[in-house]
Amino acid sequence: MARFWATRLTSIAIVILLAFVIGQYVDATMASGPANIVRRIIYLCSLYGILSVSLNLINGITGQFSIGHAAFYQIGAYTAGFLSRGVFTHWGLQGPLLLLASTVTGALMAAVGGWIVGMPSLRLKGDYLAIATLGFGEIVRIFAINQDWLGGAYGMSGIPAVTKLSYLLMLVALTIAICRNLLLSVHGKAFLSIREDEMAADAMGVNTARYKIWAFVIGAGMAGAAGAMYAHFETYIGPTSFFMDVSFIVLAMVVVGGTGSITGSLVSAVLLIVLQEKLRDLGSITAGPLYLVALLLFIGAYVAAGLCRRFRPKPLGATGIWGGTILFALVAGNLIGQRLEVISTFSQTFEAYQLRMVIFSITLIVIMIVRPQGMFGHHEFSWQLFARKRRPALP
Amino acid sequence: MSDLLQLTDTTIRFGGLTAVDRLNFTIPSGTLFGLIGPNGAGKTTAFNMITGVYQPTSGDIEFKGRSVLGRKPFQIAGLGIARTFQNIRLFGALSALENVIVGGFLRHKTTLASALLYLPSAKRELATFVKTAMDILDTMNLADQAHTRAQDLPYGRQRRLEIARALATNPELLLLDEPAAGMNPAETEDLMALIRRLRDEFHQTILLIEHDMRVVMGICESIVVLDHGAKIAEGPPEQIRNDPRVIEAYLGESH
Amino acid sequence: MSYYIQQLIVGLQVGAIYALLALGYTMVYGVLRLINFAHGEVYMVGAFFTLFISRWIHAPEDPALWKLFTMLFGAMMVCAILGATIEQVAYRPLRKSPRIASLITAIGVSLLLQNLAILVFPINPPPAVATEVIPFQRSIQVGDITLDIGKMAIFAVAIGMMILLWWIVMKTKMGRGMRAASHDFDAAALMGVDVNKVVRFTFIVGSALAGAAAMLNSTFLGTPLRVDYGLLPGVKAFTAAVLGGIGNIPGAALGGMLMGLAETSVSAAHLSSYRDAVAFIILVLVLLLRPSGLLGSSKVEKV
Repeated sequence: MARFWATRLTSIAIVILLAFVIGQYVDATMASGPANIVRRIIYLCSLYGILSVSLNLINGITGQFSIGHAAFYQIGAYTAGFLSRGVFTHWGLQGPLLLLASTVTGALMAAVGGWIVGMPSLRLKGDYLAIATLGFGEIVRIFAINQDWLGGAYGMSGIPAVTKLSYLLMLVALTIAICRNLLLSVHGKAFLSIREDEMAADAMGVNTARYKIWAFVIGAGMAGAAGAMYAHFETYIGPTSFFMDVSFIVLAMVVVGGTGSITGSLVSAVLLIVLQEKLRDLGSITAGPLYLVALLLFIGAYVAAGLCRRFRPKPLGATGIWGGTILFALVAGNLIGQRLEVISTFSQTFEAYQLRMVIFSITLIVIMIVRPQGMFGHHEFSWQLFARKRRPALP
Repeated sequence: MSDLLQLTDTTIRFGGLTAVDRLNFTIPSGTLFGLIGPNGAGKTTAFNMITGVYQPTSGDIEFKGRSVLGRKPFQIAGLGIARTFQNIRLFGALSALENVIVGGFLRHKTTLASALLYLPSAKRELATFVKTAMDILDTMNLADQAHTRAQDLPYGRQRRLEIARALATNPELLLLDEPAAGMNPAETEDLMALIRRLRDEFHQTILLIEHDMRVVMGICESIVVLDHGAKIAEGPPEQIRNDPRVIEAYLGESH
Repeated sequence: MSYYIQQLIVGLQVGAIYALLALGYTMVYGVLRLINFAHGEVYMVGAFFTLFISRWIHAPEDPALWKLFTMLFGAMMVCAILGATIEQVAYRPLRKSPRIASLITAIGVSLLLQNLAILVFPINPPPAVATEVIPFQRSIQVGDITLDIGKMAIFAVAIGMMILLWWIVMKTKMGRGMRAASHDFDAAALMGVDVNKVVRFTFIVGSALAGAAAMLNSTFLGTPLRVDYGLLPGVKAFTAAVLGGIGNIPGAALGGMLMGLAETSVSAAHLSSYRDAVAFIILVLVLLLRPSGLLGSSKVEKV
């Protein structure tokens, strides 16, 4: 018992210390100049990391297909924005305490939202539930636009900038820890069993209604906390910050990472955010190479998938086939595309950043067709991957 | 011996179709009870009413003297009735071990909060659950594949895993819905030996649905025969075997 | 009084557009059990092509009735081809995967079309077809009610399309295949129905109806064309399909009309900023209270 608490407290201390050191370092050295962009990317990665891990709890672990996650994010952000300006600062709260108050209230309000959305999940399944959650998300957004006390269409500005990366990283760690802890318990197996077969779970005595609502409440609460931190980071929030796109991007992260895998959700959140921001750096690109790369990738995907089906290579070989195809498409597409620029249609330019959603959506489609289980499948990262002989990840 | 389960005039209608019509039978504690009948006779529907998936239109179902009507399936599982499914419904992506752990879920004592914080109690609880689950897998001869995903197990083993999962709920009444369906004769033989063992060694009360009459004849003490939703015969196997109405029902089907 | 009649007519016009769109959702759902999220985007593409075609054939400068029909059939054709392509490329490989996988793909296709449209279509400033075909905006006066000829055409075409659809579904071999597939997809395949053909045909017909709706809406109701042109109509039409009972063709038509009326009532009651929320509220309520819709039949999951 004593040993348990010693290990537990040490690891918590190490996580807090790490978050503090990294956060302070980034905030101190990257606050201005070009490095500020990198700092912003780190913030976004953390925020979206929380969003995708929390959506993974609802979608991936409990199997309740929700595509309205932006609503919880928005509820958290608006709660923080409204209360911090209207109430908390009057109480004299500032700095970390203000952030803590906002985050907790934001999480609670979003959790209430999660409870409300969870209700339909008792009666609806699969695509019906998905569309209901989408509807809920839009209702929240339209409601906010029409409320003057919430800033209406203009949103809220002047929210105190009290989010520090250290705190945000601690929230990331907390989110991951909660999900991981859950999976290591009997309750976690019950959540998973609902995803696998709700009727069988019911027959085993799992109160599926209760657990589904809990999944929504916990997942929404985490998203709400992230929303609060976002509000105090950006200092401005408006209804446009929470379009359906946000929900779809988070969904893409969970799906790409592998539904049910915490590691996958986190890794793909970071990958997709970095990709999105890297596209910003690319500036403008010409239509010729773009069209050709797209065309070659499209044909290549069919060919590669066909090759993989035909020869059933080992994971390394499959990676090779796919990598080679992508590389070929990129290089050949670029070379041939440049030749085409003499034709006017092929010489117009695009902002690379605009391609972000195109790439996201294509990734989503291709992943579903080629590898529906996502990058990580149901697996988690584990140090045992590096051990010579792999033991099952479970006790 | 006391009566464990009692059906009184249990009836269910779907629209105009009466799927089960005034069904009466009583299962005494510790028996291996068979429910047989041709396809579409209403056997699985009867199961679904006992386990709360469907609510009977009229009549009553009592378990240990208390009516189970109006209760949800998970509550009925909590009362001590466990079941398997005719078309296997395992938690496919979970390991065999995890499947059985979920079966033991009813015995959990920790709260969800302690699980989220991974308190020592939650950690210990999973460890004890793993141990119990491994014992059950051992009994069912599945221990060697405890870490295999349920959907990757061979068919016969999946059937056995479903029974193991149901046993993990520590039921007073075990409902088996065509456990031998799709098995070859050798596998069926093994399974029947296993079921008999459950009754003899663990004093498990079992209600067994079977489509194939020959399978049940050998092991059940008492058999109820359904046809078109109604009970047409009840009694020990020898009596059933010679009952003209039963022969009629089965022959009628094969015609 | 005339205000309400006017509103009623507007409601039915909007409803006719939703009904045409809802038919596409309901047909695809009926056959494949898939919510075709991309349907709204097909509609958007149809609206843009209406614009392009009207420019190519110089409809604005030199209007003629045949040009309107060219725009109508052109938009229908483009949408039909697009719908068939989407089905072939994105949905067919996933026919045997879990339904959620197809749903995610559908969301992906919808996002893809929207964002490709941002890149490819002229959206700055948002053009409108209606302003370019003003000669068709003539109106007649009945008592104190003004009837727009163009807008009345919406009814005529919509009802014509629905009758045509009814004939296709009830009387043709393909229609029989569609009904069989929506009853039991696998059994239909086993009974020798060429389900691939049926599914493609369903997408073609559904998308063509979306193209017709797009042409009618963009030409006669005059909303500016933007890339999210199909987003809200799509969700509303889906709501209409659910309201009528998804998979049920008359239900979709009825649901569309009801949606149009509900929306116009909210606007008429001076709550127009909540007009879009109405659809979502109806959607959530129907899903919760009567998921099978007005004309649909409920199904019990088999254990």
